[in-house]
Amino acid sequence: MFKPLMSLLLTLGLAAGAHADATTPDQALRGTTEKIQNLIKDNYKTYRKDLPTFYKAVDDVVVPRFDVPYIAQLVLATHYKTASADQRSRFADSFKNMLVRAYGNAMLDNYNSIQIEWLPVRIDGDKALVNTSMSNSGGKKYAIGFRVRKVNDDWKVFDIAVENISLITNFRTQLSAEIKRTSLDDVIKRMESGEFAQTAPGAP
Amino acid sequence: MRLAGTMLAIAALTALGGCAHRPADDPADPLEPVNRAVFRFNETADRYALRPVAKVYAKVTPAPARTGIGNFFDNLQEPRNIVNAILQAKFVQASKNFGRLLLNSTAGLGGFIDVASEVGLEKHEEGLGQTLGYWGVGEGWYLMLPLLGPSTNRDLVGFVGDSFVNPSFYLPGRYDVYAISANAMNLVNVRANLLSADGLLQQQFDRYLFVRTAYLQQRWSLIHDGNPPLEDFDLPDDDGDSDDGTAAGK
Repeated sequence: MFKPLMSLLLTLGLAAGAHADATTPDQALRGTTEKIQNLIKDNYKTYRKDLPTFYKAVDDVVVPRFDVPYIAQLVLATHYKTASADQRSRFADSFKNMLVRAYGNAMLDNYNSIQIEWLPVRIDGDKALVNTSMSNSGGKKYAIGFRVRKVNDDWKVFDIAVENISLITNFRTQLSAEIKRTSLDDVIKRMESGEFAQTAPGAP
Repeated sequence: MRLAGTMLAIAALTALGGCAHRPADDPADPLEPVNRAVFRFNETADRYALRPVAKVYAKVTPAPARTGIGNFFDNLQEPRNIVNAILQAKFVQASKNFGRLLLNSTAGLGGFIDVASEVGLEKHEEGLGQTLGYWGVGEGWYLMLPLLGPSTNRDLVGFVGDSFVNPSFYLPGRYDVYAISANAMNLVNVRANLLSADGLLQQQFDRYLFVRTAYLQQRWSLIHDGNPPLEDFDLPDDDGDSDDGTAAGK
């Protein structure tokens, strides 16, 4: 009676396991990178003229690859505990928009000239580090690392390190000082107004 | 007597080892008010002296020449890299750096052309501060030095120690004159190549904190030859996902 059920569950479980193994973290990231590069290639002129449409495309294609709530939690660190649900989601949203603008513009400017070399992945349980070496048209190389973790059987980015300078650490330090100086609500408001659009390391 | 000496040495080493590494977002910075004042001074010096000079210099010196001058100063640091690679028991790295020194000083025309990188001997920086860090000495306090920029207790000790393996230290004549003119030249060259990063710095909420965090992370990464153990961003209350702390163990 139970045997068929068990074997069915097992098969399903194995299939799910096989699915998880099928995508490696770097494959997941590569897929997203290629998608946005192709979109920019096909719609470059439209995006240049109409940035909101471009940001919308980044929102649809790139942002799902990021673990936005977790990033917000990591950046807020101790302030996350005392933040209300509303503050948390508003912070996550405005932080995400800030990154979309900062990195989106860099993507639009460099999609054609950037060369990405995918280096071996370091996997550590349900977390991994995808190292890349990106070079621009001048041939200068930058080490860009993506910290990813498994969420619902998919790899999601939660930190970017530019020449080993971590986005999370950078924002955590500066934002927590800023929150202490003023207040979380004030910082969120300033972020929502677009005040810090270009504070991400590596954004030109 | 001898025993007492040994005990003292062990105690000193333990004390050094005791100043452990701290995460870059929460470093020991008890001198912050002083550091911030020095940082403001450095920024002013940069705005009115270094940056204008670097701008003129960048205009009259083509980029390849700036790269060559950068290479020349890098080559002067090669003895430091060799000695410190040996001090960290990285003998293969030391011999690679030795190969760089030989190749670049000869075929590279006194260091102006980095031919070694083209044959696979990439630049690899080692200094006494890194050596101390490699053997477990923590960075101690964060320091902002006048004109010299960010440092730590450990890196300041390293900076002074490293000056003994700088070739110009052994030239006849006054070391300070060589050191100051070479450093000034190097500084202008480095600053000229950093002009494009000014925008990034100006956009930060708090430039002092940005420089501090970036400096400490970069040093931490250099100590680990570019592969630092992964930060686990210790959250005060994690959301219950299986965090077994393996990253912290490495």
